[in-house]
Amino acid sequence: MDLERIRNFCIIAHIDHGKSTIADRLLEVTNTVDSRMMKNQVLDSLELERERGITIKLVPVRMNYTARDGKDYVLNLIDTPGHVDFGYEVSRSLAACEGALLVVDAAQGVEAQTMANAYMAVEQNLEIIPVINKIDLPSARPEYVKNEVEEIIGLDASGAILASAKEGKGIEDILEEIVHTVPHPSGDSSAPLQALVFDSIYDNYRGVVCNIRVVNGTIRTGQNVLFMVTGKNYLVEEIGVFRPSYQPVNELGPGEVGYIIANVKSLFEAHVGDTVTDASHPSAKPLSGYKNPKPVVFCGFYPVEREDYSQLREALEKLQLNDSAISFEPETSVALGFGFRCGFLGLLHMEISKERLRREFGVELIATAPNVIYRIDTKEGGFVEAHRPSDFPEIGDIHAVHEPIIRLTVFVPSEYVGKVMQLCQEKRGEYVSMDYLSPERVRIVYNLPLAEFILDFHDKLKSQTRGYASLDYEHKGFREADLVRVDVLIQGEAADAFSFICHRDESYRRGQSVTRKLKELIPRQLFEVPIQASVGKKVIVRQNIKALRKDVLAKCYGGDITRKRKLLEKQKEGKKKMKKIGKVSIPQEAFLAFLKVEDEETK
Amino acid sequence: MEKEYNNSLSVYVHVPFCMSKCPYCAFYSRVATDDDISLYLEALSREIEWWSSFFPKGRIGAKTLYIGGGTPTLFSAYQWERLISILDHRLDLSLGCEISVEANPGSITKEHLRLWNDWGLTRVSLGVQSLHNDELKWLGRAHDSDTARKALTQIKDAGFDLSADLLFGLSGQSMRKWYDSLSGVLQYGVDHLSLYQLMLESGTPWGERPPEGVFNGYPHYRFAQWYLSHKGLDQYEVASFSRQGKWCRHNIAYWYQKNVLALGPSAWGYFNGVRYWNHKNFSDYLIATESEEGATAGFECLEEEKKIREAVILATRTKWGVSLNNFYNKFNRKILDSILSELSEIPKDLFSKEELRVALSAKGMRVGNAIWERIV
Repeated sequence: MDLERIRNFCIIAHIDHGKSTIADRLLEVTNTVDSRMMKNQVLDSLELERERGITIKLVPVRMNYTARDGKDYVLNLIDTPGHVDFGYEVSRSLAACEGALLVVDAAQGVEAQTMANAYMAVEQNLEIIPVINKIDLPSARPEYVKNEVEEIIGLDASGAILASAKEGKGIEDILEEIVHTVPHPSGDSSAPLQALVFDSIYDNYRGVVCNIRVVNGTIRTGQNVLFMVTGKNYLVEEIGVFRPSYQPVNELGPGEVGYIIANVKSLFEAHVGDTVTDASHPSAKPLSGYKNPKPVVFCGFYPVEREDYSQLREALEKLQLNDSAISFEPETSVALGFGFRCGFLGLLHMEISKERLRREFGVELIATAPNVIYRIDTKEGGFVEAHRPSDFPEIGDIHAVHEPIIRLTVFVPSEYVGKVMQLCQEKRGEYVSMDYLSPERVRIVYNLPLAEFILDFHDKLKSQTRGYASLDYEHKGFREADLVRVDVLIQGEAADAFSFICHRDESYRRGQSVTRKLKELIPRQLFEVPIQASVGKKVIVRQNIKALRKDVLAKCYGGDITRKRKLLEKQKEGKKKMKKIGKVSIPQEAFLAFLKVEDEETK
Repeated sequence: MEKEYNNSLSVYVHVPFCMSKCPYCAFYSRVATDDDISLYLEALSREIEWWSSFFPKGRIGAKTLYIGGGTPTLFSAYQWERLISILDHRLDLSLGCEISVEANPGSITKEHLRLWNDWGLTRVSLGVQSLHNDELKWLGRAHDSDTARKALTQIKDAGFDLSADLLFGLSGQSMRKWYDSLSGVLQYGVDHLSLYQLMLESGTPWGERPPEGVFNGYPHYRFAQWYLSHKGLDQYEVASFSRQGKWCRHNIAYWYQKNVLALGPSAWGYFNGVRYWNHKNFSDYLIATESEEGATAGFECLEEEKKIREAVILATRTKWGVSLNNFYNKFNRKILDSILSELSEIPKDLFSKEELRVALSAKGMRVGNAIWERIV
C-alpha cells in the first residue's frame, strides 16, 4: 500500500472529555460502521467500559476516507485507555501512531490528564491536533480553552478544531486535518520485518490476537515470525485489519496497522511492546521502549463462600488470559480462608478486575484493603520485599523500610489550593511545586506515598474540591519512611486480617479507629472482649467490648417451645457464618468494614 | 422438682376469644359472639371425647389443668358451667391438682370466683400488665388500674393462689413506674409474678408497624430480679417469680418435657416425645373435631439429639436446671456430655454454683438466649 495514503493516529483526552464519542462520529462519517448498527461508543468493547464511560482496552479501527482533495486515504485510529493506571499501554499505543487528536472539553478546559497525555504524545514525536469538543454546551468557552492549551501545554492552538461530537459538528474538519497534518508513516518494505505489538487480547474463539503496527518490512500469512522479547517462533495463521471487526488480508506493509493470529498460547507470550520479526531474516534489534509493566497495587481476593475457592481461581486464570497485567498467587488468611494475593497496575485496574470477575465470571468476592510493596532492609543486612503486613519482619529486625512514591500533579481552581495542599500534607506528601496557570487555575505537584494515595486520596480530593480537581501521577521509585506494622489482637489473639502498615506517627490514631470500628461491629459476647492494637510487643490502644447484658425472650410455653427452638437455630446458623478468632465470633461485616476504615475516621 | 412430675399428665385448654385484639398479642384469639362460644364448647367436648378413647376407661387423669387464652373470663357463668361439666366429664382431677385460669381484670366477676371455688380451682393468673393508666391505654387494654386493683383484691379475698402478669419495655415506662407496678401488685398479696418484655412479634399489628418508645428492658428486668428476691419471691424461671412452693406446676411441666394434653384451637401439646398442634383457624378446628382424626393439625417428633438439646435448654430456663443424675438416667450419655462440654466454655458466673446440677444464675438468665443459641 502507498505509504502516503496512510495516517495512523490516536485520540488522547482527559476522562469524560468526549474521546469515545468523537471516535464514534469518525466511524459514522467514514461509513466504517453502519449508523443503524451504532451503539454508543463502539470502540469500548467491554460492557463495563461503556457503563463507566472509560476505556480500558484499546480497540483499533481502520477507516477509508475520501478527502476533499479527491484522494482515498486509510486512517487507522488507535484508541487509548484513558486512565493513569494504564500509562504504559498508552505509551505503546502512541508509539504506533504519527499523530494524535488532543481532545479538550470546551467547558472544563485543560485537566491533569490532558497535559500528561499531551506530554507523552510530544515525547513520542507525534503531530498533535487540538480539538475543542462540546462547543454545544451553554458553558462552553472555546476561546478561553484554546488559550489554556497554548498557555498550559504550550501547543499552538490557533488552528484548533471546534467540534461537538454530540451534534456531529467539526468531524469532517478533523478528518481533513488528520490527512493534511499528520505525517504519513515512513518505512522500508524490503527491510527485515519489525512490527510493534501495541496490544494483545485473548479471544475465546481465536486465542491470542496481537494488534501490531508494521514499522519496516512486510508480514504475510504463512510466515514464520519471531517475538523478540520472548524469543519464541510462531507460524502466522491469519493477518487482518479492523473494520472494526476482524477482516483478513494477505499481508501488511510498513505503516499499516492490523492484527495477527499465530497460535500464540497465552498473553504471557505476547507482551505489549514486543517486536515481531521474520524468523529467518530477523531484524538486528527490536524496536525500543519495551517495558514489562509491574503491578504496583496489591490486594487479597477471597471468595465469599469458601467452597468457591476453585471457582475464583479459574476465573482469575481466565481473566489473566485477557489481561496479562494481573498477577496472582494463593494466600491464606486466618479470617477469610483461602484466597489470592493479586497485583494490579493501579487502583482503577483493581476495581475493574474485581468488577469483571463478578460480572463476567459470576464470582462474589471480598477484596481486602489495597496495599503497596514495601522494601525492607534488615539489620542483618538482608532484604525483604513485603507484599502484605505479615511479610514484615519483627520490628527489632528492621533496619529501614522503603515505600513507593508517586509524583502527583493536581489541577485545581485557585480557591481550592489550600484544601488540596492540606490534603497532600495529611497524606505525608512532600511539596514540589505550585504554578498559577492562569489567575483561576493552579497546578500543584507533590511527591506522595503511593500507599496513602491508594487508600482514598481520589475520593477525598473530589469531595474537598467539589469535583473540580483533576489529577495525574507517575511512579517515582522508593523512599525511606518510618513505617510500622500495627497488629490487632482480639482477646489476646492476633487477627492478621486487621493488621496494617502505617507511618509511626499515625499508628495511634489509626489503631484507635480500627479498634473502635471493631468494637462497633463485633457483637457483645458472653464475656468481655479486649481489642488491642500493638506495634511490636507494645500495646498502643485498648478497647473493651463489654459482655452481653441481656438477651432473653421472656415467655416459653406450649407452642412457644418449638418457635423458640427454631429461632435459636436460625441465630446459631447465622453465627456459624461468622469467623471465630479464639472464642470470639466476628461477623463478616467487620472484615468488610475494615476495608473501609479510612473512609469514616476523619468524618 | 422434675421427678415429682414423672408420671403426670397436664391438660391445657385454650379459650380463643377476646373482647378485642391487643396490638402486641400473638396468641390466637377472635372477638366472639355467643354462638361462637357455644360452637366452641361443643367442639371442645368432642375433642376431649376423642382423646378419652385413648385412656383406660375413658378417664384422663390430670395433675395440673390450665385454662388459658384468649380471655377465659369472657365466658358468662352459664358458659363456665358448661365448660366445667365438659371437663369434669372426662378428666380425673387428682387430689392436690393444680387448676389455673387466666383472668382479665375487665371481665372477671364475682360469679366467676364463686363457680371456680365450687369447682376446686386453685390458682388465678390475672393479666394486670401495668398499674398505670397511661401504659394500659397505650397497650390498648380495656381495663384501667382501679379495675386491676379491684380484681386483685377480689381474687385474693376468694382465697385463690394469685399470680399477676406485668409487662416491661413499654413506651414511657420509667424505672419509677415499673417499681410502682411491681410493688403495687405485691401489696395485694400476689404470690406469683410473670414478667414479660413487650415483644414485637411478626403477625401482630405492632410486629408489622412497631410503635415508638419500645426499648431494651435490661434495667427493668434486672431491677425486678433484685427487688423481688428481696420481697421473698424467688426467680424460678426466666420470666417467673414466686414465693416458696407457689410456682406454677403446669408451666414447669413444659420445661421438663412432660406430657401435656392440649385442647382448643391453636393449642400445642406434647405426648410421649411428640409435640403436636391443633388447627389454628376457628372453623377448621370446629370441622376437625367432627372428624376421626381429631383436632390435631400436625406434629413434630424430634430426633434424639435435638430432643436432648431442647431438654437442656428448657430445663435451664428454671432455677432447678439440669439435674445430672436425672438427665444421665434419662438421656444418651455421649450426647449429654457433648452438650455439657459446650456449656463449659461459657463464663462460670452465668451459672449457679450447685453440685450435680447445671442451672443459670440470675446473670445467666439475663443472657439465656445467647447461651441456648450455643447448644441448640
